[in-house]
Amino acid sequence: MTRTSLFACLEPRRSEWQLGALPAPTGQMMLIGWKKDPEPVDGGVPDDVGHVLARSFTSLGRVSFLSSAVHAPAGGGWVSSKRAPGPADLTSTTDPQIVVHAFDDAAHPWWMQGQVLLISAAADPPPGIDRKQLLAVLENEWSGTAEQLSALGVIGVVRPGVDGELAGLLTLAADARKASLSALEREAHRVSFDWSVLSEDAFMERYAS
Amino acid sequence: MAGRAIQGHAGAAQEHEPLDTGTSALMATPAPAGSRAPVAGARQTIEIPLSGGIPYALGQASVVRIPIPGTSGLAIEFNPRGWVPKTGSTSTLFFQDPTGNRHLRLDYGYNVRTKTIDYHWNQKRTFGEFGIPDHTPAGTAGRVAYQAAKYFKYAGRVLIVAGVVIDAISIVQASKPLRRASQVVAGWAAAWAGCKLVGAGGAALATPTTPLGMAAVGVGGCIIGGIAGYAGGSLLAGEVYDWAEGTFFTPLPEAAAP
Repeated sequence: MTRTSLFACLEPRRSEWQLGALPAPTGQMMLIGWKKDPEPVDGGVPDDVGHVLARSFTSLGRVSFLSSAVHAPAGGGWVSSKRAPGPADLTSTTDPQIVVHAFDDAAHPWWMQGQVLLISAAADPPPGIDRKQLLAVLENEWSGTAEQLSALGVIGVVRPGVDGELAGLLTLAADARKASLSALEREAHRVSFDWSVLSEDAFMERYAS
Repeated sequence: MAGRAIQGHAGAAQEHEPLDTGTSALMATPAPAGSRAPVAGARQTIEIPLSGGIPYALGQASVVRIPIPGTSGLAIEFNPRGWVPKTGSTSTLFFQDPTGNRHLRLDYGYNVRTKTIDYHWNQKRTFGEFGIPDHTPAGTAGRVAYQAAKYFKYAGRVLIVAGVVIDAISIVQASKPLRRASQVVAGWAAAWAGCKLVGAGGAALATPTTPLGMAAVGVGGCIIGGIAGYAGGSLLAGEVYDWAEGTFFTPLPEAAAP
């Protein structure tokens, strides 16, 4: 029987996570990790973990992410907005079944840190991020762009950590971190995952054990 | 002009005699020129046809997708698929499908399983082909392969440019530029095909559970196939050009229909 754990670290400092400068100059960074027993042979986000993350993020608001989906299906809260020039398509949705594709899109590979998820208020339209800001969020020193994103209504930014084995959630609103933790815990328990908040050392140890 | 002689010397050899003015028939035949010893330091001119075939074939192995037969579309490459940061990827050797959705890559960086910075394999959906789980340390052989792939990727591009430049010069300098251009274009096309064909054969020969061996044999095959393909393509194109150039078509006389 497979056992899955979801865990978070609220005070990350190490550069090994490849999430830029820590602590973040703006907002609060949180690491979200997962562990399955037995260990899966494939890298990246396991399907069941991806669904838990997608449900957690969409419970916070609208999620906009890079997508290679060419034809957006009608309805379902799916909006596709092309930011010319180049192949960067931002898809914005409140549907967790669509958000889960963010973790498995080869054109914007989560496993090579080529993906970003922007969380904004569900009632608002997608954030008006331009191409330059979008590309800046994908680079190593992405947290410096966070202040600009906050002005656009973004309350959280999710980036893949090293090899896509963990996620970094940068919250930009006062109550967003608390709401994120509650959502993750609730969704983890809903599918019988273990849930815990760990110190950075314990978080690191959890992967190796 | 018979009977007229010009005062002076005749003959190219060391011995010579003055002409007898008015009686050219009396001119002594000069002694035949003897063999001369080569002058020290003199350069010998050897006519070697200029060709960028070898650098081109060597370099193209760094950019061509070398197919791995029996793996449902996986190929050996030195570049990732999908988005790459400005600083580049931390992986240098890839076994991946055209989208990158299925991949095995040789990576360097922090390994969450070993808690160290090491050379390791990352993979998604290729465990069935290679039997290597994600984050498996690649060891010393992996380190050597990682560095070799890293430098070959850049050296390969330089070699391609060098090959193209040499071929361009050879076209400009050729007595028949059109013939040479045909040879070059055919050589490039055949080099690409040869690389794919022999490279795939090499990759098939290597055991699927040793991706480093597969990469070495596949890339080696690609280079050999590329060189052979370039030579064969150029030769064939030259022959076809010569045949076409020396062939004349004479229109038949018109005859009334029966």
